Amino acid sequence: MLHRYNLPVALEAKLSHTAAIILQAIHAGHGYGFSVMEMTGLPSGTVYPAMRRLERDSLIRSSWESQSIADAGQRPPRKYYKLTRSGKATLEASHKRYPLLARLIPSPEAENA
Amino acid sequence: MTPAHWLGSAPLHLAILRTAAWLVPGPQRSEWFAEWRAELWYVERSPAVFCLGAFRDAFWLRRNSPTPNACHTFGLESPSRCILFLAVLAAVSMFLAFRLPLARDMILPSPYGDARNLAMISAEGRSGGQIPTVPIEQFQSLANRMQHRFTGLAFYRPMQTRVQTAELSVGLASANLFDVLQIPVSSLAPGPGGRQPAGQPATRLILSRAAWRKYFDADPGIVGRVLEVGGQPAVVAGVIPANSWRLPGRMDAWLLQDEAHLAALPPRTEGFVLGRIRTSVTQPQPDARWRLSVPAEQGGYDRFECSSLAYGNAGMAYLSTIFVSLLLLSITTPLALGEYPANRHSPTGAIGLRRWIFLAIKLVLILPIACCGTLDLAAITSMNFQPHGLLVGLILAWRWALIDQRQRCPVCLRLLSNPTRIGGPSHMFLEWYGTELICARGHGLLYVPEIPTSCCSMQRWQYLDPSWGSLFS
Repeated sequence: MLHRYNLPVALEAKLSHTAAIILQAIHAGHGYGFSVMEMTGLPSGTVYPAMRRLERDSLIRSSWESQSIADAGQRPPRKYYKLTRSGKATLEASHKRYPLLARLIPSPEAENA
Repeated sequence: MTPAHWLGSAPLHLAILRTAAWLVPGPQRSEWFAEWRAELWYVERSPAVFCLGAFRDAFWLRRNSPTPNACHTFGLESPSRCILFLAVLAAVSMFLAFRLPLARDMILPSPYGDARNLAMISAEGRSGGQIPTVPIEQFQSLANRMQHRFTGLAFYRPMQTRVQTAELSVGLASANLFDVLQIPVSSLAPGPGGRQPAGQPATRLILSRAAWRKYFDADPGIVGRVLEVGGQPAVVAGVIPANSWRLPGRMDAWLLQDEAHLAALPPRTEGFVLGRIRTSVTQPQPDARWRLSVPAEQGGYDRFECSSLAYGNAGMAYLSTIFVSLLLLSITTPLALGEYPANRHSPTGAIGLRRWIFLAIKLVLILPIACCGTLDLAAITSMNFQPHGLLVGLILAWRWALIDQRQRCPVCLRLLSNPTRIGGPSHMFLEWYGTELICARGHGLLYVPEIPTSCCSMQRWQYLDPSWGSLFS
């Protein structure tokens, strides 16, 4: 829907707990929907719409893997998701809001540290 | 195929995804479907549940699509497509209502003679199901002790057994079953090869018309022929008319046995019991239920529940539900369709009439959809929720018809598009605020106030003069 009169609003992105978990899961390397579902225990009807919202807000971006890789694995090609720069910034802000998030789903950097 | 196998079948999962894909706006559909299908490939546990989540995703995409109005219209922008869609839905609902056995039974009149005096007798607390509940020893006790209330009591028990070479669903029944039901059994003329032998077996077999056609090629000489039923000989005594069996248990045939044969069954063998009430006894109301206690052989009482096989006046019940739904509609939604002020660009009488005819057609088509759709759902789920389901369904359908009508251009009857938010609550004292919609063909604008105020109490239409036409051509 169009808005004829728009008032200035705060641009600070505040994620819901579910969206933050999904963002953290993608950051931790669970790059496709079913993997995020398995990691978080959230149902498909929650994970996929949440990923669409995150992608719409430019916090993640998606790309299809090449057909040759999928053919080599004898499976259909997957759509992978990655965090954008603003996604990483938002996730860092979310860690302050949800301190247990990083411990719940540790990212590769945290594991290597 | 068991329900578990059915839920686990890949074609079902793809069908669910394809159905959900129709909700996704066209430009995104193929990529969306490819992603879900690729994801499904990895799912091992509860794939059907996984696929159902696709609907939520598809609805989200539809709501957030940049395509104007994609989330609401479902391709029904054009009035002719809308009417066609409703007509198809009505036709499918009515077709299913006459095809689904349980739904058809509720529509067609009872096939049983004097159904007001017929009652189904079940064990207390177990009535209304498809499982036999009365042990044969209790049936015999009923038959002996309840002659003052029933002119006849009949027993039957469904079982799967082999008739000649085919596996049929056969009802092991007392000999008076069809006399109690007052179903005319057509004794077709015995054919040349179907003469009854002198030593004819006492057990009689009655065939359903469907089984007679399917397994015996509608052989007119079937009556009198001796068939092997579960290893025992039985003579075919007749064929019952189509659609005349509406009692629990799907039957292809009935094996009528005398009392001696029934008495030989184990005493705890459970079956269904039917009773024909004496006319001297107070007649039950249609759809009535009552309790019955019979002194048991071992002392105490056997307790039963009786339910009348006569249906209430379905027509009156439906009419009253429609009336109540119309009353409730005025509580749940405003009935006014908006202000359409007359001006020199206003539609002629014929165009205004066309708008009302369109609304009337929608309302008329909603009736069979709601009535037959409720019957279909009740038949599919085997649940008795017709009155409440019909009431809720009708209110929702009437509401949709009114909302849809309000969102259409009064000239071309197409759904309005490009909703635009105007103003905010703080503007209320200065000017109206709400949503503005536009006719894509340039016939006018619709102003829908967020809150009714004295200056703008309901939605208002503004006709655009022909000079705007160049913008929309």
